[in-house]
Amino acid sequence: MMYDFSEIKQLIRQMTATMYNFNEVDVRRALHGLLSDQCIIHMPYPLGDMQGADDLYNHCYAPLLAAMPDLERRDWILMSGESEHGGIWVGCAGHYVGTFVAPWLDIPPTGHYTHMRFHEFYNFVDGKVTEIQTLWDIPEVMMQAKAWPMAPSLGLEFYIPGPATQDGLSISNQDAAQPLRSRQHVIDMLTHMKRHPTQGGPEVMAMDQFWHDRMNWYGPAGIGTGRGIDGFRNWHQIPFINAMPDRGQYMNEISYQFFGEGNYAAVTGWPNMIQTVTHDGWMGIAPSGQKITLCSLDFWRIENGKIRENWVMVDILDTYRQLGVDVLSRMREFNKVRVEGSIPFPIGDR
Amino acid sequence: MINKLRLQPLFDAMSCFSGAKVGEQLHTFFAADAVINMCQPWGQLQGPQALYGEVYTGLLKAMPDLERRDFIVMQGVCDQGAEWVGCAGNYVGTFVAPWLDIPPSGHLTYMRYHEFYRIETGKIVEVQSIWDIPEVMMQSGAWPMVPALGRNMCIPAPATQDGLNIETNEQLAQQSKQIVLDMLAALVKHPSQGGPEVMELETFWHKRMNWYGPACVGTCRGIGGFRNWHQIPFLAAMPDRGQADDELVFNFFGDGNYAAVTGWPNMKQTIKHDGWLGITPADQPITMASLDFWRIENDKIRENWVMFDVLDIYQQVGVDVLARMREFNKARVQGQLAYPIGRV
Repeated sequence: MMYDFSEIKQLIRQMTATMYNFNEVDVRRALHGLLSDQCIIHMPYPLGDMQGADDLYNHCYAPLLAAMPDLERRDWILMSGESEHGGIWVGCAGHYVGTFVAPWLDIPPTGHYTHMRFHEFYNFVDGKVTEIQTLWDIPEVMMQAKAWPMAPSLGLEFYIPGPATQDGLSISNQDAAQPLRSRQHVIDMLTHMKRHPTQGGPEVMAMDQFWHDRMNWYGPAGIGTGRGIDGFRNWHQIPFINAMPDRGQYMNEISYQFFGEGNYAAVTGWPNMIQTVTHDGWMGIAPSGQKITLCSLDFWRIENGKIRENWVMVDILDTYRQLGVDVLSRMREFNKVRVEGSIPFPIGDR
Repeated sequence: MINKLRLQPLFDAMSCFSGAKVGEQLHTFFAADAVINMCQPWGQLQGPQALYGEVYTGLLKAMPDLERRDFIVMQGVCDQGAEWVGCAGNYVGTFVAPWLDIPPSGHLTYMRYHEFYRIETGKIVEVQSIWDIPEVMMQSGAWPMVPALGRNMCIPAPATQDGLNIETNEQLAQQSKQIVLDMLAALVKHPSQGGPEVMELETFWHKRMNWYGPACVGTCRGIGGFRNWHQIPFLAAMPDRGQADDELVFNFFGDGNYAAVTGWPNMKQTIKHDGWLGITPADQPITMASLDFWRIENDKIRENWVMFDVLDIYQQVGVDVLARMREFNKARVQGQLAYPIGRV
């Protein structure tokens, strides 16, 4: 029997609706209804791992709401599916937005409309969420506050758009095989991609076969966005593989959750990449042969058999933590010459 | 007849922009003598050939992978009886060659557009279109005027992601239009008839509203944001706004829970005081075309996309912004980037 994905998507929609007009009472109630008591929650650094709805609310949402009193969650992708390991997942992408008026994680407020992208994955067992894997683009907030203390991005930093087609909230399968087809397209693409550099030059990736020539690769803040196959190569992949040529070589130590729905595919995994920083080139990091893990939480939109948009998130702050750099602590050094405190909300004269 | 669906092949040809396809679609949909009102530096053009040759050719050369991304497409009949289709979105591409002398950024570059098409017997007979050229200048580090008070960012599609599937519902459309008209009737009472309270902003606007202004003003969040970053300085400088509305033509229409307005021009006011864009006040009369979209949620305006032609306003007060940008270009390396970019 086909699993009823529309039901779990609806459960997620009910929760996200309370976050669109974010208020504590409704959000807490929604999280309690959705999550199992023992739900394991993986959040980005420095929020870390936690358990259950109250931890998630108290440690993650309460401080964000205090910083952005008119907090609003804007989803632009909502998709579900069964992974190759049989897990039932819902993936969401969008932004938290709000007027940023009080320090958050010691990031100074901007006083303006501020956005933070999220990629969130919810694992369902018996109608309850038992595991969450989430990345929030905290560096993106730091950059808007002019508080990013690390190297600037090679790619473009901007407010990442949702799907050009605006159909990310109404994804559905045109036929029963489409989820597998979309998933397989991405898996085949990655199989080719991982042949480079160990088995040959860029040509072994056969990128033209899998990617639209006007593709957009929306990377995390710290890397930025690359447009076109060349944009992807120049601003992300060439430096990434230069620094870590062994990416994709430790497949048995990691786990992936791939799923497709309609013409979209997604992946999560905590972690789902292991590689070694052996050379110069990536984000200005001094190479020291350190092995790192990455959680890459990604969404793909396929158009006429080619990937036209790809939203990618990895936890840059956690990567730095593994390499011995405390980015937030470096940001606090800069804060010594910034006036501390909050901005009254509503802001200014009316 | 649903005009917005009829025009879809034209917009589709621009979503993977190719010169030949777009040229063909322009000829299919435009009357040969269509009046095309573009923002500065083009001004008024006539016919599809001029639109393609003078406007799109240059943009396509600057962005070889040009892509049109509509995020609102709506239609309606205004009170004057004209049929309109209104589109909002972003042109996106890799910016590799100078455009209007703006130096290329080499990266994904976005430019918001608000475009209104008037249709008679199935053909486009008039266009009113503003492209946010200052937004492109800013992305190239080439904006030679004062910074915005609000926030500059790539303006998003409706939070509800439904701007391309607006429900056809005539009653709702009229209701949406009326909410905006009522809001504006109250809005223009201030300052001539009283303080900010006469605008009854809380009655008409959602408290988490977003006002997406043109790049020179920026985005404002909340009623407080709208007041601080846009309206207070705007009215401080031009307290007579809305006092010459009888002389102007507004083309309002609703579609589902959206409303829109166009008009060329639809505002007339005088720069009497300090405060707006750092412009020196000297009683200069100016006109503006404000091309706007509103999204209504539970009877309140939650999002408002606004565009006016700031290069034209500067021109009216005697400042040639593109000329000032070219002064800065003297110290920049001229030329274009190879496309595709770099070693792949």
